[in-house]
Amino acid sequence: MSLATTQLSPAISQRVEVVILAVVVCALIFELVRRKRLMERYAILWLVSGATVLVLGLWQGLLTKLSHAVGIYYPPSALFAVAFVFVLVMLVHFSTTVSRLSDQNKMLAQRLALLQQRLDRREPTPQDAQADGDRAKQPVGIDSE
Amino acid sequence: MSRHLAIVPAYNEAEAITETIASIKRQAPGFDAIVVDDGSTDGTAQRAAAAGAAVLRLPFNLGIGGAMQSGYLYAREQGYDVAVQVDGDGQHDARDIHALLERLNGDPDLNMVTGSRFLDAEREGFRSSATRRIGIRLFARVVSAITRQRVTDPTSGFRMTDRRGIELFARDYPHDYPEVEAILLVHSHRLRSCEIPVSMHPRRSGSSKISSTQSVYYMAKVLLAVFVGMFRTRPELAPAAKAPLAAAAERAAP
Repeated sequence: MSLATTQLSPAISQRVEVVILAVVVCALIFELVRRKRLMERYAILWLVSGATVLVLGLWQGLLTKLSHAVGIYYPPSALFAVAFVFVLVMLVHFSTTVSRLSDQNKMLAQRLALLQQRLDRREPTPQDAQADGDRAKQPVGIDSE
Repeated sequence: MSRHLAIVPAYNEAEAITETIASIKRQAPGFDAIVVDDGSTDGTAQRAAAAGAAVLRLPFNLGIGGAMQSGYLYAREQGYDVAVQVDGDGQHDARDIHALLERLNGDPDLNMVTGSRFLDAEREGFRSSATRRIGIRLFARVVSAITRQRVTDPTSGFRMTDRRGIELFARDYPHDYPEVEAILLVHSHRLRSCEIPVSMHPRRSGSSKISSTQSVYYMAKVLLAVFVGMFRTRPELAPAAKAPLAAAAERAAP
């Protein structure tokens, strides 16, 4: 047995793991934002959750105090409850985001179709002109570019 | 002279679309036809154009609500005074267009006329399957109770609207399975609608796009939409933009 493991009680090693986890989550979110894979708007929520876990990991008595204050005598339950609510809020948030995006998507598709129809009336695309060409030889205006 | 438009939504209806357009031209010569090709992969758009209709080509499948709204956007943009929805699959009989128009023009307060399969029990014609009729009857009761007028065929897509109806639907149209909600939308915007009896045909080709699992979703979705819709604020005068997003689209439109 090494000196380090004998010195660390199980509670402390658990706390170390929690702190490492929180730091990894924050680092991951930071890296995703840096690579522009995640917008700041959505990163903030995740960073807040990472920071919360970090604070709870570092400040040992906090979770126990908080959970006792609201009448929960098994502190991990309090943690699960908070985490569950957080995930729920995130999912509802994403559902509204998806709804908004599909609405915008629909509007773009419609506008594109209307604009294309207007354009087609003026200058048919080469394929269309070819198809039409069998019936009526029409000059194609856009090949000359 | 007022201008009339037939909006024909079509998704993979290459077999039926030519005849649908031809019958509109034959039976309702005063109507221009716009085919909304909802992302078809079978050459529907080409055949529609060859049949002499204008074509709106959606880049991907939006579903019937989004496709239909595209037609209303076109009608608004091109300044049409009357628009009638005619299914691309040949279910609606273009001969009835004239009756719809006569009813709409006959009453200046009227904004929308729907062709109903069930209004005239004597009338011949296709009336959907027995199980679907149960659902239709349920919706008919709900819609009749909310609008406080008799609605016999709330799922009929054979509808004609005036300019105010066009403007309303161009701004706001239900997403999927829109028919039931559209009646309530018209009602909540204080526009007036009525039904006249029509006959419908079974589909000319292909099969219905609604399977049995989808019909469960259909019922749930429409009932939810109807229920939530009852809690929306009712605009007093002109059709107003429902959401900030729709308002943004208004500004973007030329």
